[in-house]
Amino acid sequence: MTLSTPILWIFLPLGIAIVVLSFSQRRFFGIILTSATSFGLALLAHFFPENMIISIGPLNFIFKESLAIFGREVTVAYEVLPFIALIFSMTGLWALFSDLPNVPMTFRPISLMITSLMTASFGVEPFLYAALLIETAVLLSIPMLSPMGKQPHAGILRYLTLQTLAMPFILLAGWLLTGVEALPLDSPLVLQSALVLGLGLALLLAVFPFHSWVPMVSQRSNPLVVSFLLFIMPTTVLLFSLNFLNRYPFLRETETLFSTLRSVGTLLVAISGALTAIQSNLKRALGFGVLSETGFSLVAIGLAAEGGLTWMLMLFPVRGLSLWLWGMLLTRIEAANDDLSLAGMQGFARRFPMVSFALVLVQFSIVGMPMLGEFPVKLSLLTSLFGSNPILGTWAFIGNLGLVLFSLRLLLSVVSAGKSDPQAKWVRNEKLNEYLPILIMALFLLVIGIFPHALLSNITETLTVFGQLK
Amino acid sequence: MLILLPIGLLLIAALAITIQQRARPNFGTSWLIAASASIAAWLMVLILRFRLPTTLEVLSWDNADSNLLGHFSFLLDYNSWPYILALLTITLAVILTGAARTRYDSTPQSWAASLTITALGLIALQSGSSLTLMASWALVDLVELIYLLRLEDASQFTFRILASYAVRMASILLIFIGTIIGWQTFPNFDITQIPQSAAFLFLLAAGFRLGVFPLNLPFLQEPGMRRGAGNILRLAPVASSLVLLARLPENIIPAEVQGWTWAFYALLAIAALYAAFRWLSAADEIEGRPFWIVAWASLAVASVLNGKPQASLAWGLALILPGSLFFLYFPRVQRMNFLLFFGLIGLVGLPYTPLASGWIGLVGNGATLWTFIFLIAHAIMIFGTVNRTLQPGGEAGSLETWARIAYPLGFIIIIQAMIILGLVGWPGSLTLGLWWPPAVSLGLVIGATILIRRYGIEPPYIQLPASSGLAKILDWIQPRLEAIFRLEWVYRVILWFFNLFGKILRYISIIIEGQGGILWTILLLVLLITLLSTGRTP
Amino acid sequence: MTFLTLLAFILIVIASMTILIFRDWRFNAVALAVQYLAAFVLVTRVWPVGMAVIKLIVGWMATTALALTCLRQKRLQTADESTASLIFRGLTGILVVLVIFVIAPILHQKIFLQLDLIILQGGLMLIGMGLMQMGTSSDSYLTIISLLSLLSGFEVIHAGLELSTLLTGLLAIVNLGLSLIGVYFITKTSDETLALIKPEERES
Repeated sequence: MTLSTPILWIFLPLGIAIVVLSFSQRRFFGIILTSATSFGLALLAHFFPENMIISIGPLNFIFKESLAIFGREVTVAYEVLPFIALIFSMTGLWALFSDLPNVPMTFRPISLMITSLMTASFGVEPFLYAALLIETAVLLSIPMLSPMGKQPHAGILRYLTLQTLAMPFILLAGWLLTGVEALPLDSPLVLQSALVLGLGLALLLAVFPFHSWVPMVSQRSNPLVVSFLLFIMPTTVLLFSLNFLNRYPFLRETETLFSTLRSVGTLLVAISGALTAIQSNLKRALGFGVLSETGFSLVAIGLAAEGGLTWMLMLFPVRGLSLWLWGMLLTRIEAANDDLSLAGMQGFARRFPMVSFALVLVQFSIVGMPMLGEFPVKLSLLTSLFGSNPILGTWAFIGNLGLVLFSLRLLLSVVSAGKSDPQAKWVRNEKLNEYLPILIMALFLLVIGIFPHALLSNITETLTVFGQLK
Repeated sequence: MLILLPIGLLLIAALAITIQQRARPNFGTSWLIAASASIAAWLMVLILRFRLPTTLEVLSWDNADSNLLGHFSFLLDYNSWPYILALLTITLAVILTGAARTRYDSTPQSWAASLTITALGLIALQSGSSLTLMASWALVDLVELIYLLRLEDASQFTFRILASYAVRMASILLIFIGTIIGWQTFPNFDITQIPQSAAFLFLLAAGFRLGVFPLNLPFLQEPGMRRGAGNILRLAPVASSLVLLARLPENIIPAEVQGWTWAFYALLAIAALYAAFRWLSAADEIEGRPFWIVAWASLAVASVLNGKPQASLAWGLALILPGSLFFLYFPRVQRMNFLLFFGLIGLVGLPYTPLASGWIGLVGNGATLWTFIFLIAHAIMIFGTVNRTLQPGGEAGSLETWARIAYPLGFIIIIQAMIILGLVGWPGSLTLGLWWPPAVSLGLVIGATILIRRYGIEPPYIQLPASSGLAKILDWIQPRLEAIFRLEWVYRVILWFFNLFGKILRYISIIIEGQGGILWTILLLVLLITLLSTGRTP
Repeated sequence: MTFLTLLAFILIVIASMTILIFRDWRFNAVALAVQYLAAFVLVTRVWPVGMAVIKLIVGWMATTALALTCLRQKRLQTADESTASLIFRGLTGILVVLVIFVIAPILHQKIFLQLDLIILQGGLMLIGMGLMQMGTSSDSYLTIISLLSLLSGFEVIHAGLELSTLLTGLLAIVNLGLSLIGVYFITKTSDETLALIKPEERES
């Protein structure tokens, strides 16, 4: 029997998501089906045979990598399966623990749909059509960011506007790039096409000054939902952007492009770091923290010649785990404490120590503090950046400290006894089923921080998809 | 693997005590476990002296697939072995002398805490790479933070506990950036090969943790952590910073800031003098402990600045061992007071005493004004120590029978360690040294004693009459100086700038996120499109 | 044909100005429908009618969905606006028109040489007006309309560059998706739904 991989990893999860959506009121059913599908597809992607043949008893399933649709093709190549495994396993993780207060019912099916669409966006040919698939994913995300029963807020509209604006730029860039391939490097059209492309990607990735929607959305929407979106979208878009480098030699061979990426990435890290440091709302800090991560990914692409793409890919799994933990913790905190400002969190750790310290720990992990998840990669990344440009390296380091500063302010707030009860004792109000996953994930982040070469190397095989890139 | 054995032994013992206390609490058994483990670890480390240097490569991230740099290793060499022995000695001393403090802070929980903190301290002391150092410091700081926050009276000290934690974190970040800079010259260097380009940052990191450079004393009033585990908690992180000093290269001041060397010396001198004076005037040893640490650490850092990092070993050990003699000496027993004189001998720095090799660090390539200032600080420290040594004690009868053996044994162990280190601690530990600095220092002490006798003041009751003008001046100055050196004014200034900066950024955020924000974004887009259409490069 | 194209362009200007100036959903719905019609006429210059009509149908479907939802919700008694704000928006619209007239020939010469100038101008007019509409309103309904306008402008320009069935289909999905989102937002802000929302969760 001949099947194709796009059916497995695009259409099957889409179909299941529709089923889950139809039964969205059945919470348990939705959790089981969504997480089982996601984890199942992730495992399949991880263990998929290279010859694309699966034998079950007398049946032989032969998988083709492509599927033709309306004269175009959608491809899910073998080389990209590690990345597919990552995004589906993350989706499963988010779905499995989505039975939390204030998480909308539509989150589970929509998250699976978004993952399918992002998988499709990565494999569609011509790859510029990915912009439309990404836009569709954006539209689908609206009901989970702004569920029924809650007023739509300005952040949602801003998000929709800016993400929709990106689409025309990317499509136009595609047309322009095809035309300039034959032109000499110093032709002004080359620069213009690169700029149009850059604008489109900047809008998608929320690069400053197109970042305003991120803190607005993270402040008003459910943290678990926001953390999922802020993981899946930038991660896939970053990988998608490598297609341009792979396809067009004149982009690949321009040192200006890479130095611009390093500068833009550093600027984003520095600005979002500064904005994180001054925050007084925990949810907004999540948004700015993610922006800083996007900045680091751009820096990593800018350091492609020094192996930056490997580092970018290695950051994805640990970032996913950290964002999941961060989102989950904030959701739990929000359920226990209405006020998520620093002042409102005073003394929180004395009642919920596990959640509080885990929150600080995950923020430190995102920063790259020693022995936590992102430390090994950030160390190498910053070393390389410093080597190529000490000023950029210094600013990236300083920007990265923004979240450290916020975390210290948070720590001060949560451990200080509230004015109403200055002698408050330390008690643990979290139940075992609440803090056990937190503890396990925190330990896992520590293990990744110590053994990154063992746990993060697999994802780097995805780079083989881009034949022209290292 | 041998070098990990003492660490494992201490951790297992701590775990055993914890389990035993939960299952079948027994004071005596817990004490025996703690004492046995400490003795065994101490002996192991003593034997390891004959296997120096020893390296243990634990983990390397170097991998073609991952493109990561970094490795973890342990190193036991002539720089770390003395501090390890010293740390284990005071741990053993804490357990032994704890026999006399069972009514106070000596409990099985505190012994388990002591063993754990010591084990973590050993990891930090044996760090063979900057990554191992960062990891161990992070772990030690976390343990200290949790320990402090859980103390009964910690609520009033929350800000200071976190300020201290923030300073420690800053030191780790300095090592982080130092590693990044150092790797430009020498990728993946060992801790013994710290490049010149990064050395100053490593020095700053050590200085931060010691509270010396710049001077920061968040814990002038500490939460209730007196002797015992409190002593270990204070000295273990200090030891791990001191060992780093000994590993730094000789020419540490970067060429770009050579002209500002005087400023570094000035800061150190102020720190040393102030701390020495506060040690002299402290009500008891525990109140004076932070200043004790700062004063001796200043002299150790000065050795590094003078291009003699090896000499910092002597000053660092003087901080730990003789200091612990005084910090653990409670209750005072008159008949045991003579033991303190051995500590005093260890601090004076006469030829062929443990501190003799340290003087070259202060003198460097020639005596300067700073040398004499440091000498004055040393003299004040000695003067204060003499004062403490001469204070009377109680009767031995106040101790339990078994404690009358264990208690003095704890101090004898410390003195023994001082002698061992002085004899065979490291190549050059037994030395004539320089004769004139200790002579000058002693001369100053004797001179001061004679001078104050004229005013009817004698050790151990060095106290100005309340009615004297000088006392009134000092009473006026002291709180103000304390406020300055506690650096709360620095925090306030930083906070003021931070709030101002935050207001500006928040204002910009409000504009960009407000109703007109999309217009600002569109404006920028239009500007860029205009540039595109004219074909000009931005 | 030229007269028709010119008429289409003029209709685009009038319709987009109407959307920009007025906040009444009825005016906006009619203007949007007229906008799509005009865009269709421009697209027929470069595409077969069979393909171009997709854009018209999709556009009218989107407009109808929005309009019917507003009608059903008996919505949006628009707040009385001062004449000054109407005039202000009108002036901004005129500014956009002028800017388009200035930059269109430059873009035509430098980048979009194969495109008819009038098509380029029409597309840019829709994009520019859409951007200005977005900038002058934070209402969800109007934001959706501006996005639809903007996308239709882009589609007009892109139609002159490339003909692709899949792309047309995907753009149709996006347009309909946007209108569905608009319906979703309008339904959320209706009086009945608002009555179900706790007061503290409502935005002012």
